[in-house]
Amino acid sequence: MHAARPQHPPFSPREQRLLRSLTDSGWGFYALLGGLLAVIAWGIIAYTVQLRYGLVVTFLRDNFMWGVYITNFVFFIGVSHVGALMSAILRITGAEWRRPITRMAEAITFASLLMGALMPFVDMGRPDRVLNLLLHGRLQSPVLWDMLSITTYLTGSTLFLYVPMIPDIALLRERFAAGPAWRRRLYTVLAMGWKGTEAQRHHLERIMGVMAILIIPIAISVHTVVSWIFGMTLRAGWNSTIFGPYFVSGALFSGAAAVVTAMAAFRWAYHLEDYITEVHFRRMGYLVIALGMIYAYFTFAEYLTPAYKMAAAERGYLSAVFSGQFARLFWFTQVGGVLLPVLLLTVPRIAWVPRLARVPILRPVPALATIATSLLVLLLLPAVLPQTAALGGFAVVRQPPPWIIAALGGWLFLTLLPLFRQRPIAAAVVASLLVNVGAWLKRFVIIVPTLQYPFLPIQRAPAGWAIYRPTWVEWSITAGALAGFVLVYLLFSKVFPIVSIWETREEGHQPALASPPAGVHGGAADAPAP
Amino acid sequence: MRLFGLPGAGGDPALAYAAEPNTRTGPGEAGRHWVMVIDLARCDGCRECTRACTAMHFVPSGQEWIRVYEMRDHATGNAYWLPRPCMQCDNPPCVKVCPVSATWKREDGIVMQDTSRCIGCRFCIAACPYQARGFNWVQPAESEEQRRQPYDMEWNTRHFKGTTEKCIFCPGLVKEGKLPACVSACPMGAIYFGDQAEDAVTNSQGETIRFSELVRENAGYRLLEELGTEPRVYYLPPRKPLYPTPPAEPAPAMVGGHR
Amino acid sequence: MRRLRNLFGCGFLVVALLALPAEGAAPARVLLRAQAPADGTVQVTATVVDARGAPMAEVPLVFKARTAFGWLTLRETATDRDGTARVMFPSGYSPEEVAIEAGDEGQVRAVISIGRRKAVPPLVRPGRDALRAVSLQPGFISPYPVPLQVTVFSLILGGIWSVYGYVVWLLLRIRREDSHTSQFRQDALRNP
Repeated sequence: MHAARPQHPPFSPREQRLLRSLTDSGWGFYALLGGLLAVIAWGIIAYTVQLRYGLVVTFLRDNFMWGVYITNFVFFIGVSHVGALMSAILRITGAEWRRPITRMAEAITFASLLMGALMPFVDMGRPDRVLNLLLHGRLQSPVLWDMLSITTYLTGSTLFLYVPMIPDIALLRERFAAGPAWRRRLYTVLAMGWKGTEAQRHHLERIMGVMAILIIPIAISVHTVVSWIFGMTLRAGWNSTIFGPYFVSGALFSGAAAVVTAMAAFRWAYHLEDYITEVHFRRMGYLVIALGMIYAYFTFAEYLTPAYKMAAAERGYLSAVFSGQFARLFWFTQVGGVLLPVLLLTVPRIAWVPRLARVPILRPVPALATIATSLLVLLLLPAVLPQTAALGGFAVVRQPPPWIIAALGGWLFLTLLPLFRQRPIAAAVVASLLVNVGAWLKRFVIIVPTLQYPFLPIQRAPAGWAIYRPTWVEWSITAGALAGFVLVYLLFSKVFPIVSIWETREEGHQPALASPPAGVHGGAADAPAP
Repeated sequence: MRLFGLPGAGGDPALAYAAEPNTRTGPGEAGRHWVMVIDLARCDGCRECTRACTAMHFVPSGQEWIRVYEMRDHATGNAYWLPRPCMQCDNPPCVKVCPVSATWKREDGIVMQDTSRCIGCRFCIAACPYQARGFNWVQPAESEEQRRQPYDMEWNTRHFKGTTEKCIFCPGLVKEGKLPACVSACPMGAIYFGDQAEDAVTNSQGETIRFSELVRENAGYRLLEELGTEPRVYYLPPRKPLYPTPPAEPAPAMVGGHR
Repeated sequence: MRRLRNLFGCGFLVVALLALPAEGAAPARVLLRAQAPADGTVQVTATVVDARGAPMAEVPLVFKARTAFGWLTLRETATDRDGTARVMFPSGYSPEEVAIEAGDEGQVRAVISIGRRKAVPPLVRPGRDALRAVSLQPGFISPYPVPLQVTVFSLILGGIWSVYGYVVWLLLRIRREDSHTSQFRQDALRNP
């Protein structure tokens, strides 16, 4: 029926830019798609191996009953956290700069939640009995709480993502009238007959008003419940009352960083420089800094209270984390995953930073060359030397003492500072990637050390059971899940505009389109969008 | 989810039986409260209990349902052996977290495990502070004779891949009036088993003693009492042990024990 | 307790067994008698007599109770001047059987059956009410839903999901607007 209405205006230049991701697919897209599908296929192969032989193909054993899969679960749920939450808070507070980035944030929630919800099923010993959860489900178990809250959150965040997309979908319905049939059908169904009438706008605003408020407690409850998977056990290191808010703060931090990464990726891939500007990165940077500080505060509170008392049960994991086999991982998550990103987002704005470039040992080229050489030597040395036992499976740098790492890192940081000052977006991306790597590792450090130091010592365990080193199956499934996350996100951006067209128009974002759109909703355009 | 229409608290036994037609579990004995007492002064670490348990239940390799730990509470303390069955806690952390009630508390105090229902989420293993639960990471090797037996969770002779298992105080033997496998196998008579309601426990040497007196007079304690799990296994401290202490190697851990 | 009262309501039940024949002053028989007064306690009285049937004083005597796996020594005592000794069981608890070993080497033995164990069919998966006697947190370990928790969950989740329902209803309203306002086909997404 829409094809019968030929008078659609063609894409305006602005729409063309925003819809380029839908219309043009270069070789880069197909290469990425192929790569992602390959990784996912590999992950599926790994999973079939696990199904065939049992969980023995992982390195999970009686003492380490949870590992990488549950780490992924917590990580993905955490990343999913910020999208809807941040978007809801920014909507409620009427922060106008949010408009170009809310949708990509909400889509992160969607994609990441799908992968996160998958992980417990991958972790299950008997996935064939999954129906028992419905047949014999016990509401007293936190697993059921998780199921309920994640289902609720997935539904809510999908609505929250979908509803503000309706006007854009209606636009696509009009514009893609001559496009492929699946697009036409999809957009027609999803557009809900949107015509932009006053009444429709009113309903839409009401939905967004309700959902923006409702999604906040749901989002917070989801990660709280995830933390209770650990908090409801007696294990030293998990038996913590602040695990709920601690996990929420960590989730917000990693999620905000994920949004920054996504912003940079889409800005680069879809040429959205006009929409996602440096201002957005700066504002998101503030958010990341604030959340990082909250997270650091919670980490401090979480570790100081047991460390001060050093109760017998907690000694094991605390010393392993602070100075033992997990120390490098832990300090990386704290220095590299929290402190450094926060510094990267703040320090380049300080006035004296450009002067650093004048210091002789901080000249980029010689300094970088020296650092790279020494790092290379430090990394290659242990590889050449006879293998030492890799503790914890994660000993990235085995031999060099920590102070050398710290010194090299500090040097590198100071050298790069002036460069980052010139490229604030690059700084934000580096910071956010560090945050996410650190967040994943931190979840690992929350889960595994505690399992290594149970109340009764690990004794008479068969060879290799007393240590956890993830196997290729676990890594493959993790990579597959990550690829799945990216794939869902990518396909989303290929089907729907990743930057809200109608909301950015209301903002009067484009100088070329400064005149407000005339028509029935002229009045509404002045009000903040729902 | 089963919310309504089924026996709620208390429940009607007939309905409960009808709700679980495939459950060949003995319902336990009402009025019984099985309890175990382990005299650490008598334990010489021979691990006959572990072997008898493994033989009787065909415990899959890698698991020990009653594991004998080498313990030392502090640097100057004596080393001692600590057999650790499932504690059959009265406030069981594993039962609380099980999402499908594949593990549950019977009226006679036993924490049962239904491996035909378990979904393998391993939450119970995470929740158990005694490391008393094991997981079948592979399909356990089964003999032909074993495979012919029907699944009966009271005897726990069949094992399934991807499920959790543990000591269940041998309810099949107990129902026949026999002591659990580990108790009757202990050559030192260090393990007592009985009914707390009768206030009597019996060991492999036929000694039947008043449970309350045994625990009171020997300063009996429960493992990790401070966690509030209310175990049904009591330990008598290793005072003046009658056995050679554990060897120095591997170094006994200075964790746990009685505090 | 009703079980006991039924058993003993009419008075005394006497079971006496002869173990060993003996001569002269050696204890020959033990007469056992169980009494169940109305207060629920159970009393077992043993009378040791010699071959002529005369009660014997100062005979060492051991009371034993049958337990699940063995005989538990209840009391070691000696008969009084009347040749009797007794053991009391508090209200609500008595063993199935009580055995007596009399004589210096316990050579005279007798057993009295007091009552069977309750034959109440126990629950396969007991719920809160049954677990209350066993556990500190019967609701948390019960296999069945706890009404309070179900109510709280229903309120929270029901609230959220009914808001979702409201949102879907609004969405349907948006859809209906389309057909209602066909004359009002102003394309709001038109570009200037």
